[in-house]
Amino acid sequence: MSVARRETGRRWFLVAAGVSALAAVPAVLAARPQPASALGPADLVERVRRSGRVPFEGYAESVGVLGLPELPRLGAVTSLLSSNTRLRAWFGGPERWRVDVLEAGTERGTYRDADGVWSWDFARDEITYVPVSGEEHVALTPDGREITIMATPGESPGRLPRGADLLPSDLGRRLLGLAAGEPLAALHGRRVAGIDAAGVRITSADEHSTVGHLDVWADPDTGLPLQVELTARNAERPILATRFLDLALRTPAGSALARPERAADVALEGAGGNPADFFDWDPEGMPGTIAGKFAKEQPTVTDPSGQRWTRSDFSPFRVYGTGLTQFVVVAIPDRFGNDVYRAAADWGQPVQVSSGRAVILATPLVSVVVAQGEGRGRGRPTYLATGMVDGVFMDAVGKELAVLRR
Amino acid sequence: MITVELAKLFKRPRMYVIVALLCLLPFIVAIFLATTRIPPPPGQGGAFLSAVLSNGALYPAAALALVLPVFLPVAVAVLAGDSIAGEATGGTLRYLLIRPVGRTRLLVAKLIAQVAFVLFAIAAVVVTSYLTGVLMLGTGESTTGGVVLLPPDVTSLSGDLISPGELALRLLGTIGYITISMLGVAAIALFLSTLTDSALGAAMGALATLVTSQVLVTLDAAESVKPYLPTRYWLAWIDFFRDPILWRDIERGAGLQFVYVAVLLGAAWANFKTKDIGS
Repeated sequence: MSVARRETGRRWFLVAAGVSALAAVPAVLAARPQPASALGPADLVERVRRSGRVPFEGYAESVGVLGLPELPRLGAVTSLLSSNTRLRAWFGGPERWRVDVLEAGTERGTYRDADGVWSWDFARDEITYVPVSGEEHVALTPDGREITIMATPGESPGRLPRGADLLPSDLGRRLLGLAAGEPLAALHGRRVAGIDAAGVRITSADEHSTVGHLDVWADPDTGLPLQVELTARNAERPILATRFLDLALRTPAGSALARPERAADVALEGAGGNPADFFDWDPEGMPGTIAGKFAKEQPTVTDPSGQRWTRSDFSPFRVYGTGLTQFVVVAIPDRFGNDVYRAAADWGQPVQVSSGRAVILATPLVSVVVAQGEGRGRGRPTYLATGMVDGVFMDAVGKELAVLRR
Repeated sequence: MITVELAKLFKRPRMYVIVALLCLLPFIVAIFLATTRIPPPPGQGGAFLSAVLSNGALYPAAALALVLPVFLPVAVAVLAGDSIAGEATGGTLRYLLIRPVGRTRLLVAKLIAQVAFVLFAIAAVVVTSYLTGVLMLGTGESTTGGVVLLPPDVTSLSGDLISPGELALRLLGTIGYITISMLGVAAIALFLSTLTDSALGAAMGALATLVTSQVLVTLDAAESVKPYLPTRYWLAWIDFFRDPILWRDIERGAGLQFVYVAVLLGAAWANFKTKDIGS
C-alpha cells in the first residue's frame, strides 16, 4: 500500500470514528438506566390529582393521529387531535398561567390572569377576552352542606377544547380524573424532560370503550404529569401522545405571564370562545339516559339569595356514562345544523333510524354521531355526540338522538 | 488565502446577479401586497405576510421567510458546489495548489468565502426589504413625532410590542442564525465538490440532499430521524420574533449545523488532502 493511500485511509478512519462517536451520543443518553419508583400506581394517581398547583414552565409537543375530518366551526378542535402541536407553557397557578400554541410563522396564546382568559391569535391579529367574574356564592347543597361556588360566566367547564388542553400536565390530570375507578397497573419509569418519571397504566373495563390503555408518566415528587399516551383498543401505537421536552419546576417570571401588550388597544369582544355563543344551551331538554347510560349527576346548590344553581348553569353540554366511556351530547343550533350534518355525511356512514337521519364517524379512538330529527330546512333539531366509545355503541346513541324532540 | 478567496468572490459579477435575484422576489411580492392590500388567509401563505400590511417594518422577516426555503439554499449550493469543482473544470485548481497553499487551508478559505456570501446576501435582502416594506407598505404613525423617521413598534408573534431597536437586534440574530443554517448547505456542496470535477453535479447533489431532508421533515413516519435532518431547524429563526424568544430550536439548529460542518469538512479534508489533481 502506498504512503498516500495509507494516509487517505487514516484520515477517513478519523472521520468515520468522529461520525460514529457523534451518532452514538443519543443512543448512549437513551440507554441510561432509569431508577425504579417506589410509588405504587394508586399513590401516583393520587399525587397527580393533587398536582394542580405545582408551578412550572416548559415546552411540550403532542402528536395526534385521530384522522377526524374538519367539521364546520369545529375545525380547530378536530385538528388538535389529528396533527402535531407545539406548546410553550408558564404555569404559576390555576388563576395565573399562559400556554402558547406555536406554529410556523404564527402563534396562538391563551393567558389566564385575575381578570379572565385572554386568547391571542397572531395570524388573525385578534385578541378575545373571556371575563372571569370571580363572584363568590356561598351555597347550600341539598343535604345541607355549605359550599362556595365561583361564578365563571366565560370560562365554562363545557367550553370547546383548545391547544392548552393538550399540555401533559392538564391532559394527564383530566384523563385520570375521568378514569377514576378503572383498573390501574404500574409502568416502567422513563426519563421525561430530564426527570425520572414514574408511570401508571389505566385500562377500561367497559366493552364499548375504544381505549386500549391510558399511560401517564408523572414526576413522583410533585405528581406533575409529564407524558400522556392514549392508545386505542387493538392498536400498537398511541393515537394521542403528549410530553414535555423541556421542563423547569419553578414559578414563572411575571413578565412571561403578563397578558399580550396588544390586549391594551384591542376592543374587548366579550365572551369569545364560549360555546354558549354557538351551541343551543338547553341541557335540561336532553333525556336522563341515552343508550342505557345515565346523564352525569347535576349537583344542585342554592345561594344565599335563594337562587338555585346546577352544574349545567355553567355548561352547555350534557355528559353521559362513567369512566373512560363517558360521552358528551351537544344540541347544535338550527342555523348550523344542516352544515354540520352535511360535513359529517361527507365522511361518515349513515345510521339506520326509524325517523329523522343520523350519520356516524368512527375512528379507532373517538366516535362521533350527528343526528337530525324530523323537520324541514333549518327547523330540524340537530345533536352531536362524541366520546371514546366504539361505533356499535355510538350507532345506538344516534338512533335515540334522531327521534328526540326539542 | 482567505483574502484571495473573498476578493475572488466579490469580483465576480454573477455573485451580484444572484444577490439581486434574491432581493427581487420580496420586492415583487411587496408590489402585489401594496397594490391589492390582500393579505394571505390567516395561517396560510408565507410567515409574517399578513402582518406586514399593518407595519412594513416587519417586512424583512417576511422577506427572509420567502427566500430561505428555496432561493437561498439554491444560491449557496451553486456557489459552494463550484468552489473546488469549478476550479478543476476551469483548469485553475492545479495552479492554485502549485502555489505554497495547503489544501486544508484552501478548503477553510472556500467555506469562509461562502459565509461571507451568505452574510452579504442576507444583509442585502434585509436592507432592501426593509426599505421596500417601509416605503411601499407603510409603518403607521411615527413614534418620534416626525423628528426622526422611525417606524412604530411592531407586534411580535406573541402579541407584545417590539421597539425599533429591539427589532434591529432580533434581525441581527436572524441573520446570524440563517448564516449558520446555510453553513450546512455550503459544507455539503463543498464536500461533493471535492468528489467531482462537475460543479453542476456537486450543486445538484447538495440540492438533492436538501430536498430529501425537506420531504422527510414533513413525514410522520420519519419522526425518529427528524432531529438530525439538516433542514429540520431551518425555520427556527422565526422564534426570534416570539416573546420571550424561544431559544430551544435555535440552539439545536445551530448545534446541528456545526456538527454537519465538522463532519463534512472533515470528509472533504479526508478526500481532498491527497487527491490526485488531474486538471
